[in-house]
Amino acid sequence: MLRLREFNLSLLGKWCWRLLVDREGFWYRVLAARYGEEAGRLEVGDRSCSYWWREVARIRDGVGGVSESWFSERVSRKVGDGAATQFWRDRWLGGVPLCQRFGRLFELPEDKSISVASMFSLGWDRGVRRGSGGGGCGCGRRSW
Amino acid sequence: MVVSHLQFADDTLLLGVKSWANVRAMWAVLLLVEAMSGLKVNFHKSMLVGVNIFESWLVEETSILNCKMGHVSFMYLGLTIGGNPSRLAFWAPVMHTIKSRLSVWKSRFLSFGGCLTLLKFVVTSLHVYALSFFKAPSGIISSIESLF
Repeated sequence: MLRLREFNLSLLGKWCWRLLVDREGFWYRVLAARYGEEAGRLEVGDRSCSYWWREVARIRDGVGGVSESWFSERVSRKVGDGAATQFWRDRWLGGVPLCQRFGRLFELPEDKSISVASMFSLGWDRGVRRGSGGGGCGCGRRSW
Repeated sequence: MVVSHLQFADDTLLLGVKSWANVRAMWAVLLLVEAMSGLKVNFHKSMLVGVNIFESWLVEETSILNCKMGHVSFMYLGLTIGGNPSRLAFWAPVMHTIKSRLSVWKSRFLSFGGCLTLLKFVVTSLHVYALSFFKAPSGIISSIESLF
C-alpha cells in the first residue's frame, strides 16, 4: 500500500515544481500579485495567507515535513542571464547554496537576495577576465 | 492583477465587487449569453457566495437572481473552497467516499483477486485529487491507512 504522507507531500511538491518552471502560468501570476515576488522568488506571506500556499511554501523552503528539505535538495538551477537566480540562496553552483557553503561571508552582504545577474554587473566579470583566484572575492567586496 | 472569472468544463465562477449594480449587470450578461448562445443558465443550481458580506444583503440579491445562497466553504471542481484543511471535518467527504465504496464491496461476492484489483486501482486513487491540493493532517492520513 502507498505511504500516504509521502505521497501527499510529493503531490504538493509538484506545485513547487510548477511554480519554478511555469513562470507565465496563471497560478504563478496570481501568487505573485497576492504575495509579492522578490528576485524571482515568491514571498511566503504572513499568517493570514492561504493554507494551501503556506504548505506549498513550506515544502519549497524545506520547513518541517518528512525530511526537512527534500525538495530544494533535489532541485538545482541552470543559470541563464541570472536575473531570476538568487546569488546566495539558490543552488546554482556546486550543489550547495553559497549561503551555506560560505556562511560567514553570507553575514556580510546587505542585500541577501541579490540575483546572480546583479552580482555579475557589480563587477565580477572583470575578476573573471583577469582569471585570478581572487576574482570572486573582489566581486563580493564591492557588493556589501 | 484582476481575476474576473474562472471557467473549467461546466463550472463557472464569476467574481465581482459587492454592489447592487454589479449583480444586475451580471444577471443581464448571463441572460444575454443565454439569448446569444442558446445555452441555458440554470439559476436554480447557481449560488451567490459572499465574502465578508452581510447575509441580509445576500438574501435580497438571491431573491432577485433567483438562485441559491452559498457559504464560503463550497465545492468547486470537486474540492472544498474556503475550508480549513487542517480540520478533520474538512476531510469528511473524502473519508465518506472511500468508506461508501468499501462497504458496497463487502456485500458483493467478489473473488479475493477482484477485491485486490479494485482496492489497488479505485480506492487508492479516490483521495489522490484531494491530496494533490491539500496537505492532510496526520490524523486523516492514519485513518485512511487504517481503512485499507
